[in-house]
Amino acid sequence: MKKISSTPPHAGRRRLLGALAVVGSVPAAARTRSSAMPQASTGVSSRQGPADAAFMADGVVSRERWLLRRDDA
Amino acid sequence: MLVESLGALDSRSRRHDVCVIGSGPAGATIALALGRAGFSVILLEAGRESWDEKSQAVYEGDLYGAPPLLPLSVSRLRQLGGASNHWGGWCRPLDAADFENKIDGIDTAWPIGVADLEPWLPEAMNILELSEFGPDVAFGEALREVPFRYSPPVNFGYKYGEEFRRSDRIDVALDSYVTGFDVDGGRIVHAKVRDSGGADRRVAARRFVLCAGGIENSRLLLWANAQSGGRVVPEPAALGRYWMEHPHFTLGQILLEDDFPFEFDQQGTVFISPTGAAMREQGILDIGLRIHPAKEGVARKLITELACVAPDLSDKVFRRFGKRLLCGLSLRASWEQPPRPYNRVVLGDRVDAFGIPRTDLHWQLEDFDRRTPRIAAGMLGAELAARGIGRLRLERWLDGLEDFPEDDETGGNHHMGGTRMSRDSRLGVVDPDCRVHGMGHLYIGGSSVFPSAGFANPTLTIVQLALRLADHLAGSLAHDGEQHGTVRVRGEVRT
Repeated sequence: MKKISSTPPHAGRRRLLGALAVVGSVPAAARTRSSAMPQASTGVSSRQGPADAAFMADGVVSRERWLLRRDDA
Repeated sequence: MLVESLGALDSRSRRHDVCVIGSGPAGATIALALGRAGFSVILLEAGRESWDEKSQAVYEGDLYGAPPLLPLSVSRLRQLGGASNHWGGWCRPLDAADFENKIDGIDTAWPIGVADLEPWLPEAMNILELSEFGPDVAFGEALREVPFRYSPPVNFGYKYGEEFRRSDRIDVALDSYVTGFDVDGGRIVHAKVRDSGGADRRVAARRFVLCAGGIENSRLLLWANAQSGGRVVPEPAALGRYWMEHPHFTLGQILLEDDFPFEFDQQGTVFISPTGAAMREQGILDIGLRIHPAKEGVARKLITELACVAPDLSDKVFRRFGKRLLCGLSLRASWEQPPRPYNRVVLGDRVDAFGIPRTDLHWQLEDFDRRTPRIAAGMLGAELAARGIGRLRLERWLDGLEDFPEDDETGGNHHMGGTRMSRDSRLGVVDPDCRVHGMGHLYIGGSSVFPSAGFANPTLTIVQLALRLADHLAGSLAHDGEQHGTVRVRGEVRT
């Protein structure tokens, strides 16, 4: 089975997204105590995720990808 | 009290009824519940009160499979409070259907039902500081809007640190890495503990509860079994296996032709999920479809693309866009993956600074992990279109012609399974009371006991299970008929 390196190349970006997401939601004291720790919070980090960026860059239009009604076209 | 290492407790005369290993949401909840009930508890935390790089390095491990999860030294925290130091606070209880088999051949059933956890829901919500959950609201016959609630998020080390310090019932020892157990007469009698200076000690107690996390519970038991010749987990067929995550991926985008009929919650999200009946009918597992507003540029691109395939509809939406009405939404999802024995925690060849083998985590998604989001998204898209609300555009990977994206969120850092609950020791490590099959006085807390995962973030369920286990332990200890009282101390903490 394929072995993945301990640090995937894009982990830094996802870690950064996680860090951006969690700051502001952790109590100030806790944030101060743990400012250097890894942030792996989920959910909010997805909001401006890479999928939207990939969509913006996608120049191919495929009708099959749209779930349309019969009377749409 | 709270001490920097186990050595600081050696001179004290104290009887501990329960030894809890790990101070995250499960361990802290059990320790506090039992301490408040009058039992003496020793809570062993491998890390220190604050995060430090050296301690965290113990969590490094190797990932096998695809797509890649976050590195194991990033997705969890080795310090007082555990992963509650960086969780997001998203909460929802599991649904009734999550405890049942929904598809022939995929074993998602728990040996307990939703009613077995409900008595502890109010207290769990209180601990996590959650407001009341509203009811699910039907969206067509097959879907429903499901509410989430958000913890501040509670950091267990921060919230309960002062109570730990002041307690005369709970002793918290930091820098106390449990490296194994002594077994005598079919029961655990000591936890073996090593501190960062290399000093080894033993902790005796009447009950032991392993709450080290969704990966560490498996790793520590695998190592304890390897050291003891299989005496700690005498029936290890499922140990480390059936490990699960919640796959997290973007499924597509929605273009609105009319007002969105749902109200976004405080995280700017609306959750839609299939009903239990729809899951069974469609042959899918549970999934949370997460809808949130997209950037304006996404809406503009959607309108442009739609103009090529449905120009009249595109014109209609463009008029909404011109009025600066909400037009574009992103659709993400997290879902339940089938529990599989080959997704598992094993001991690696590399060792940590204490000489304990590091984790090798084998985890992969399968074709079925495309089926659940593809069908559920289709159900949502059909409902949106039929009601004239909008149209859904699906990501290409859902067709099965591409691999799962490697640059998406992939997982939620929700580490579940490995010591799953089952009445059958061939299929699980703990029984419905969270007691290790075939071993006396050893229990497991945390999401590693989940037999299946639903789609809800696991912390609320972890705390419910912890409160339930604490009540079980209280009853079990009372049934022992042993007296709480003095203890002999001979260079170790003794009960």
